[in-house]
Amino acid sequence: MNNDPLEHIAQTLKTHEVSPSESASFDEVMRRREKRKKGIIWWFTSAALLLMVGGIYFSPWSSEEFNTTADQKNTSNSGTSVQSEAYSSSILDKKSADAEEEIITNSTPESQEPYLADNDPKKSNKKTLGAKLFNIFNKLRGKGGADITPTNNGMTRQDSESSKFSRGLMTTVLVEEPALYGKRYLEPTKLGEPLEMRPSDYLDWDFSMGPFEPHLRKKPWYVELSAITGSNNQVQFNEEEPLSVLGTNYMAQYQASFLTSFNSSSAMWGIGLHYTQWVGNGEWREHTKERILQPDGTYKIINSTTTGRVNYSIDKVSIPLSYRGFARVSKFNLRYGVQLAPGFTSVTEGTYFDATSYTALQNSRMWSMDGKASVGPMIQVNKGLNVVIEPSVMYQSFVDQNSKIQGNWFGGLGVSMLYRLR
Amino acid sequence: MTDKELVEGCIREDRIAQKYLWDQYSSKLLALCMRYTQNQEEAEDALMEAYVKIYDNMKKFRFQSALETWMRRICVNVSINKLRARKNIFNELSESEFELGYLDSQYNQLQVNQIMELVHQLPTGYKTVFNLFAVEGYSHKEISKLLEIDEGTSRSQLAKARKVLQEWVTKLGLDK
Repeated sequence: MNNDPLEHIAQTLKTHEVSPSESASFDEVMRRREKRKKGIIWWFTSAALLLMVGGIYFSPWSSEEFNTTADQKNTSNSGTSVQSEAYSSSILDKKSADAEEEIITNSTPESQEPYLADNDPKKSNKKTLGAKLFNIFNKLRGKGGADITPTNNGMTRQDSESSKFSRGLMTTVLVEEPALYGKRYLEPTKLGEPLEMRPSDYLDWDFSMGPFEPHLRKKPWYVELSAITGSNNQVQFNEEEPLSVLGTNYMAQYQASFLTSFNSSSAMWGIGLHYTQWVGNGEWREHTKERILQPDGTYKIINSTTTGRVNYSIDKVSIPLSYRGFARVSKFNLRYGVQLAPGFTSVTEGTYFDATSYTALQNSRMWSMDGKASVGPMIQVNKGLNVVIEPSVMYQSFVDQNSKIQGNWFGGLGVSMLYRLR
Repeated sequence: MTDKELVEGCIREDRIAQKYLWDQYSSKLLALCMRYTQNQEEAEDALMEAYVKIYDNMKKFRFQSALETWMRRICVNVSINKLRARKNIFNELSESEFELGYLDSQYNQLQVNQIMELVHQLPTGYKTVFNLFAVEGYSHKEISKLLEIDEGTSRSQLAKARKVLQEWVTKLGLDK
């Protein structure tokens, strides 16, 4: 027999065995494994679907573009001159009107496909998948994807409406792309505003523009790659608080986004994916009064300070919804931006802390939300590539296992590369 | 079935090997989990979570220790995580008011269930450090890492646990 009672207790506990009840069985373990695997697949599928839907929604095949091209096609098929009011209200002489008609007609010969820039039917067919996907999406969001569906005779279903739209849209062409008319005689003006010209203004115009395909300027698309890092320190000086944590939090974020500009402004908006690593290290200090029960039944009170380390690690996957604006100050181009990024945690480990408390994190998937505001200089590297250096303020948060929102403010610095796709 | 065969079987997702692993170790590991958790239900939950991790990570087992030791470590980690998720292990210290119960049994007649019951009456911090150090054989350095406390805190928690248990044994006259 062991003479040391504490050793006896330890040995007894070490060899102790307890049979699991019926609810804890091998089959239950296997069921949990399956469930976990399915959970992982579900998350990845959801993220992929979300990205796909986002991608289609922000696709460059906008419904406006389709409607426009269809309308222009119809106009040319019916032999009507495609002119803005500015052109047709007896300002241009017959020569210019004929030239314009010829241009449009030449660019859209006999093809019945409602896609302006594609004279080759085979080439049009290559767009079919994207167009079909977009039609489906248009129907879902109620923007009249059916409007651009060709009928058997090659006319769209809104032939009667086409001329109504074509005027305004063609005016847009003139305003946005004056260079299409050989020289930059036309200065940009507001949509629908009549142009007044004297014959001497245009008689010497050179209309021999050569072959070209009129088209609406497509919205430019950009891809942005960013890396951002930030930190914050926390300290608690209030002596009334029994628990204080002195610590530092760090975060690093890697982001890829697709951005496009608004119709007429240089501002952009977009969607993307980012991965955030968020860690914290600290030391907690707790002042307590312990009451120890004595063998004689009395309590001994001991004032003590307990210290310990806390650290945590949180990884998150989020979908940032971004807005970017541009400003010019003196000779410097500045870019400012805000974004909101809902997401979920992929790793939660350790003990999360703020200045007066700490919470052990359960290793489970939790909702998260990030926000960021930034402003910084934008430097053009070449025609398509810009680099932005962005000081930023960020808020990182997540919902812990007790449904409590935990979060931290960070000051940080980021570098972004903005590349124009087309 | 040897440990090596068991591990290889589990890596192949062989159900027989997996079931054998469960049958062989689940009772020992459940007793381990029960020392850190509040009740059997919570302990069984920890045990099953630990087994999921064991099966999923069997490829990472390198035979640098006995299979049982490796599995015990996983169970300890899962149980400690559960404990932390429920509440902080050391928060109880400031509020600790505990009184060990009296037993009629003699020291050498103490049943394991009674010992379990008495150890469970210790504050969570004392109990956890005592279990890790005295039963599982962790060093203070390892305990400090696992519980994210200073080594000094681990030592003092153990000393306090020993003192309380010693007083209890003395009080009951079980040391004679």
